[in-house]
Amino acid sequence: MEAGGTGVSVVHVVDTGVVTALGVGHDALWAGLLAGRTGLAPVRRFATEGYTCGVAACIPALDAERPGLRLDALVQMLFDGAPSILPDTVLLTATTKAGIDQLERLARKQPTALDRILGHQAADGVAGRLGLKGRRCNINAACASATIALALGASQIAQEEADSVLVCGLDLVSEFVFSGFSALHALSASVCRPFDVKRDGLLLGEGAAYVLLMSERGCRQTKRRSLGRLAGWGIASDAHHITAPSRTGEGLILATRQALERAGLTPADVAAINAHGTGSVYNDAMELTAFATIFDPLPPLHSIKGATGHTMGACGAIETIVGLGSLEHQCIPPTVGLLAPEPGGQARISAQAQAISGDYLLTTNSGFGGINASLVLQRSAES
Amino acid sequence: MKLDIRGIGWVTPLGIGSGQPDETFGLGPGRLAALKSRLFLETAHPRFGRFDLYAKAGFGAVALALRSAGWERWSRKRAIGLVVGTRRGCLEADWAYYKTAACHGGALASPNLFAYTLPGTMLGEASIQFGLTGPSFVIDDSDGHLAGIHAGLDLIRWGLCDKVAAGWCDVDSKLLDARPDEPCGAVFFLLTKGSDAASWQWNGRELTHGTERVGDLASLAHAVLDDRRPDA
Repeated sequence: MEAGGTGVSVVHVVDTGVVTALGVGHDALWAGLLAGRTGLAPVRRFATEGYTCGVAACIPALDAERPGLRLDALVQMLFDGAPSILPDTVLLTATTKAGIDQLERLARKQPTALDRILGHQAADGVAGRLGLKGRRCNINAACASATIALALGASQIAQEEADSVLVCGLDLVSEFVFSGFSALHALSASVCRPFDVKRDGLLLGEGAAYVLLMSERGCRQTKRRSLGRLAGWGIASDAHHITAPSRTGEGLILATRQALERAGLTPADVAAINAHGTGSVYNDAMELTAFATIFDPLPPLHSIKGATGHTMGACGAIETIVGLGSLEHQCIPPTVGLLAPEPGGQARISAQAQAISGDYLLTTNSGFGGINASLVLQRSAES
Repeated sequence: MKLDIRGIGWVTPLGIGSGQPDETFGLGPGRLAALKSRLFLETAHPRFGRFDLYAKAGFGAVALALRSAGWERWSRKRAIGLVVGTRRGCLEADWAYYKTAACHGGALASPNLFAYTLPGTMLGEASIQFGLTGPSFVIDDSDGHLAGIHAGLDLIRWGLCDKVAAGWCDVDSKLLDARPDEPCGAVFFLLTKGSDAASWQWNGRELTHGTERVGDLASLAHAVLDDRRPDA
């Protein structure tokens, strides 16, 4: 056993990759976030006149792909130039709707590969692209999919059942999903403004990110440098409502307390929070309620969804990468779209980048079905 | 890890059950009979009519497994996890929803149907109905009959929760033909950490009952039912 807060193996993050509407790679994402840029723009890949809004954070290069091929193209962009990964690496993909744009082709009576809609096909596709021969499956837990996949992957490392686990979150902006959020009246009619008093909804985005987790032994064997650690994780359900969060934030409180306990930390140890922060009225209020219950005072917090859009099943992996960057640079990016923070978040949420000081960052996501997941990230000792 | 299997519930083309002496478990291909919430609950569920067949079968099997364990009634929410393995998931709900969205420029897209286009919504409905606050997620696996159960066992072994309702759910889809002899329906088990005397064991790779390896869903169900017989 290696040193660790709970007597289990340390979980290192040794490699990451990311593609969002802000660009390909960490540098593009980090620079875009710090500059306060947004990838949200008018949707070009399908007509939006019948919907409550016409904006999403699409990856421009994917607009040129025809429906049905975008998921493969996204995987290609994500792993293009990535270092090789041990073939026996465990693979956990995290997608909510995989290649759901195949249904759009079916509706138009175009040739389709309907099995590409199935979640396990996302795992098969990534494994095939990378030559992975180890165990694999897809985790689907709505917008907490990648966060939960990271928790499950970390558990395997911590329990010394795997030395290398690849978690890959990915989801597309499709007419299927866009129309659904429009039908739910969940999309903003103006600008995505997480934690703003005038927020009026979320805006969708697409993206993919991978996070390669390794044990200490795996790091030594592959001579990989640790970019940071996954120090704690927790998962809990609200048991409250299918599409609305619990107003008390009880599930998020449970998940966050589990994550802190697993990391052997107190709330005071957390330097900053990357919140789910969708920009929807109820989600953001729920999060502030939950965080106020746990933290006193509230640490600096932010959301990236005004910049990347809500990337659904992928967001937990993307935000883990942003969180590691925040710890490395000791700074959290601006909350793009924010004008006037919600009471309870004032002086802690900003449209400007905020300096932070500390070794631990909390990142959380919540999803339909009332699921919540929290991760505690630890700064690399080499930072 | 030693474990106890406290309950079982199933909804298959051959019948439904919760491990009562007069019930016979069977797994196989075919179509499920019409499912009403009163088959599984004491009072009608307000949204059951909106559920697609996947959600009806999965929700029903969770309800029956909880009943089988005597955990159906509750007054305070409980830290019980929910995991399901599936191959096709809610594909029929996807198509039913998209047919409402693909005409009239999406103006008639159904929000009620959209809510069931996530395979985890079925788990969310069960968590609400039975007050279950543990981890909840879907394992999409090409051969998912035991994948959800194994993942549920891992949740216990890894200390993410102490009790899990874990199982499998797959139903017919007009869009995607079933493999020959591919079973249809849902089977859930109530799993908890066991005492040293427990006969079930999970080591992260193999589930064993006594000295017997249990490698398929039907064998698992039959072994659980054998254990529950009064003369066992």
